[in-house]
Amino acid sequence: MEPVLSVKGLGKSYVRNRFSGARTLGDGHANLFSRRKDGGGKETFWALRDISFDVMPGEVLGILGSNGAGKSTLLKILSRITAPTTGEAILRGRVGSLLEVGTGFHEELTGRENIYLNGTILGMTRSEITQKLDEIVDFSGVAPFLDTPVKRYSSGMVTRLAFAVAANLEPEILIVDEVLAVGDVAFQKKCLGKMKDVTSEGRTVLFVSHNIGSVRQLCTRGLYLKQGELLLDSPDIDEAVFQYMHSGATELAAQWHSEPEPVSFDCFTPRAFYLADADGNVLDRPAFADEEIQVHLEYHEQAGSNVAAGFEVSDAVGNVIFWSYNSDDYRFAQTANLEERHEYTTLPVNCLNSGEYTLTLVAGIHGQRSLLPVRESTIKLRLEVEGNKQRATHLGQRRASIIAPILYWREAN
Amino acid sequence: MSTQVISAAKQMNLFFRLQEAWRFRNVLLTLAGREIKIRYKQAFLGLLWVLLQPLTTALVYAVIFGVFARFQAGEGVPYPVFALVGTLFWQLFARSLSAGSTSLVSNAGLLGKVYFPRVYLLLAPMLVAVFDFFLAFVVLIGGSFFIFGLPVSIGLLVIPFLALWTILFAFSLSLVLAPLNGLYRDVGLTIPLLTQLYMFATPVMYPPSIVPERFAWIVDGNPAATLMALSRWAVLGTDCPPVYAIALLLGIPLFFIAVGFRVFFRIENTIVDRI
Repeated sequence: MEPVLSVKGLGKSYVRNRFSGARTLGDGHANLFSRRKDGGGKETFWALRDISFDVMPGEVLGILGSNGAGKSTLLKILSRITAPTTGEAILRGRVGSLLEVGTGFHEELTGRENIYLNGTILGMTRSEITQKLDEIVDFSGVAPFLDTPVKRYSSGMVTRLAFAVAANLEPEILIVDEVLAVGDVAFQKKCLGKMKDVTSEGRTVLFVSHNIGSVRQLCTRGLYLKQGELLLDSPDIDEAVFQYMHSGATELAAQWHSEPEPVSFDCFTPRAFYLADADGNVLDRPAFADEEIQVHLEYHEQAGSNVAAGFEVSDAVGNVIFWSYNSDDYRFAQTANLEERHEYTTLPVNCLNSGEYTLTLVAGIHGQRSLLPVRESTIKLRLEVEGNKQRATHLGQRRASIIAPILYWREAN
Repeated sequence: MSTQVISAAKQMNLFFRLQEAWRFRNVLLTLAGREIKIRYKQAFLGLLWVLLQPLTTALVYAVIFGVFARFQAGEGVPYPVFALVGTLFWQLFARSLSAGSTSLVSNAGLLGKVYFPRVYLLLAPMLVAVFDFFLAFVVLIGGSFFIFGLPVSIGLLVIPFLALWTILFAFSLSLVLAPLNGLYRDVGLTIPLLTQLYMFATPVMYPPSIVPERFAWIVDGNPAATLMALSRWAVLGTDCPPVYAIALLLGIPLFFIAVGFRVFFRIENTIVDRI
């Protein structure tokens, strides 16, 4: 089978004016009249560099990368909005693209007029559009406002209409950039469903979104771009997601070691504090909500001091999710009078929501005093929870709640 | 299934561009239709504006130059009709030039969202202008023929060609000015001023006979002036411009088109990055 899209050595550079944004001759004349070879006052910036990949019909490509990685530039080139500086791309089939919000709508025209305008620009004939009109109107849900100028629409309505036109064009290649960010949850679901339909018909989708949940749910393959370069092209979307998530690691890590300088809090001297996967290996990647995540703690305690050590789990916005002490579980019988200890526990499976968490080490002696209060503790770990492998597909997105436990449901009789 | 090649290496050749233009032909009509709709959407007087604009302008010229200054348009030529023909053609030219040269900037939103041959953004408002022109021409010139009892001549058949050549001239200039305006907004700001100066240099409101003999070459070398002279010759039977003036009228826009397309094609693929 022939690839529906072949990209070879694609690159795009911009010439940036140091006089930022030359808008009038006065600003730009230095460049206009002094065409020096060294490009005085100019610098070349590569938004994309040597990108190559092939896409087969029916593939759903998720393009990942942080802001400025070149995702939108890539989609713009493939939509022929702007030309590449190097390389080429061969597209076999009609391309429907939805770049950001409000694809080429005109404010003064009504919804209906805009559907025709947009449809023609996307390459449909008038009769094709008329055929599809009901479907488009139905999908977008703007039927009562079809003959109202688009300037009176809410931004959500504009997006819905734009998506409806692009998706119902039946393009061989559908390019979608970050449109789901605006719609409400119901519409996002509808869009995802539509994109699934599109792919099940053997069409190809290129999808950019910062919503990792929907990327993982929809895409069969992932590209990970970083600073204009294609770092990873993986047939496993999860791998690409991991790469992407991992790259954004902050100063907090998944492990903490006391070396080279041991720190001591009275009779409690932590040695190591780290996250591990089910096999006990350090977890230096995002975790799934339904996988076993271990929290290991190695410390030294003065014999007989009866230290209770544990951690606080808080989320990215500072909600304290829960605390846990090694003394919580009565079944856990610590070996008495051991000085060097290595203990671990397992975080509740299917409980944490997607997101970033901070684990803060705490210690104290129950009923007496705090050794390492949470406010003073700088021993912190970062845990990234991303999606859920086993969860029902419609739950691909983050729940609007602090935790997202999966409860066990069964028939009543 | 159509195959498209997006490439940095090779410039699209003319054949390919024509193919593209044909494939996207609906876009031109839709864009032009859009312009017409938008213009009349919130205008109470609607189509009446198309008639009022040239009519009032021509009446002012007729009063100032025909009545006050007593310019002679020619034997048996009523000055109001003389001014009206000039005004209609000049407004067609000026509107096409102004809309064409600012079209890339004013449609920057569309440029950044969808692909189609960019040249249609220039052409669409000109189609609208020529549509308005014919409407106004038929009503106003027809009306004045009736009022002044002028003889209908076979020369009127030339008018459509002159109108098309007028927008071709405006189009040829816009091919260079539109991308330039994208890079430097000064261009867009300067065009109304230059257009006005150009109007005074062109016998629109005054007859070419008042230009002194030693400046006659300026009039003859000016394609717009030749267009004015030819249109009045066609409608009113005034003097036909010299052959070399007609040759320049045919040659200059074609030269600008050749240059303009080279500039435009070079820049159209990346203009969106710089607007």
